[in-house]
Amino acid sequence: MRSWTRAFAASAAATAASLVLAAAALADAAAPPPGGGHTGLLVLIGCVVVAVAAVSIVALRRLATRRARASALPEESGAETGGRDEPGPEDGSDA
Amino acid sequence: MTGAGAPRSTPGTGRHAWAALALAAALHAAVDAACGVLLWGAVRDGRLGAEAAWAAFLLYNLLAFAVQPLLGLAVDRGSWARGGAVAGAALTAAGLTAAAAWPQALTPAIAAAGLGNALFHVGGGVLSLRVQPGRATAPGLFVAPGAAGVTAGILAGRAGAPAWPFVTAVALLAAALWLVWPALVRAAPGTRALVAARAPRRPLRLPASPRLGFAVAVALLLLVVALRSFVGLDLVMPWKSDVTLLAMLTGAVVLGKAAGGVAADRFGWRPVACGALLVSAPLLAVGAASPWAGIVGILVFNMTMPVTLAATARLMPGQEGFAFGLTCLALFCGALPVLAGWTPPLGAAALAAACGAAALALWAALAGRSAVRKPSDAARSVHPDERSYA
Repeated sequence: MRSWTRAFAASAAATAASLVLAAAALADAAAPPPGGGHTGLLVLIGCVVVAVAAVSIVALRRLATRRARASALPEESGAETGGRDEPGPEDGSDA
Repeated sequence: MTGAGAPRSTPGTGRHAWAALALAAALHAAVDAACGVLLWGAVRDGRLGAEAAWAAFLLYNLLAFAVQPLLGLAVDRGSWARGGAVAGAALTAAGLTAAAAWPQALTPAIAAAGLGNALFHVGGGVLSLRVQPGRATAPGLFVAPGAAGVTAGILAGRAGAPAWPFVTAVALLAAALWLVWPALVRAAPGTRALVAARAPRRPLRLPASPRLGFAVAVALLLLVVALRSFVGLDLVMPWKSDVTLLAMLTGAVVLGKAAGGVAADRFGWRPVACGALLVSAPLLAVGAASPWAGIVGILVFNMTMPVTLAATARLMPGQEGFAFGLTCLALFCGALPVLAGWTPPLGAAALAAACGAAALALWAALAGRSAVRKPSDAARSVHPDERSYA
């Protein structure tokens, strides 16, 4: 599986988990427990933030690796010049 | 340096791209206003009590900001900038409609609005970052109207304004953006990359950069964003209860973000962004007592925003959605201590220290060889497809 596919799958899973947690926390917000307090809510928020940050760090590490690899390519390569030989099939395909 | 066979720029390309950006910026204001109406309308009519409102606002912000990196990864990976922006706006409008039509469905409505707002921000952010790759002007112009939308939404929600004008505005602007986006292709072939809003097939030309330099630059930029968010939210300005002064303050935020990008591209990122942080510190320190100092301070303070956003995106060519999302996650992290009520308002000395630290971190990030070169360098290195509509 390609690295970005893995990152995407991980992000999709984390998004789904975030939404479940957020929905639970919203329910908690709508009906606060007797005696008040939202410790559980804050813990849930912390979990979501940590999960998102973890996925982001993984993605950033992959980006850093890709950058390092790209900058190591010789000057003549397309990656270095930013040029390409012909328009790709993806150009404008979204239109 | 232009690759053989790359699409050529055509007359009007720039105008078309800027027109799309203007539409996206207007939609940004409408989406943020819709969210404000939803939340503050619920507070006004008693559906959200004090405790529940606090938690609901926190969670709305969690969905609207903190999950953006994940959505950004998905948008970048699938090249869904256009679909993401429009779907996000539609989801926000659906949330507002649901909250108005079915009061008992407030929780899912807030979740939909938050998630929709996040998706719109990522999609629109990609558009703004690709209109003018490597520059701060376009992202500043895209983000700036959001503050006006938030204030308008809060005031309208508190006043009990109906939801339908906001739903209509979001729907019309989203439809226009959806329709205009492909029209750009036909009108100007050079905008194909913008319209497709996808990454170039091959990596951009990148500066030689060790992995550590990349990580440090990203961390410093996100630290600056978080510090700015913390300071901005922690400020106490009691005079904001005056609607006229509140409108002027909102105008200062909008003007600061919009002018910051323009000025930074014109005069240099480091002097403008770092200088703005340093100049704003004393103004904000006396801003509680003096509305004029506070308004000017907020204007100058917000000039940094487009630079941190554009600089983060410069570090991640082809991953603009992820870059935009990361800055929003940093915004949320910076705001969280204030939103959760963990921190007292900053004193003048602490405020100056925070601004100074942010300026220092930003200076270091922008000075790094790794990262974020000056815009003139960036313009030379972008993909020819992108340069054609810059």
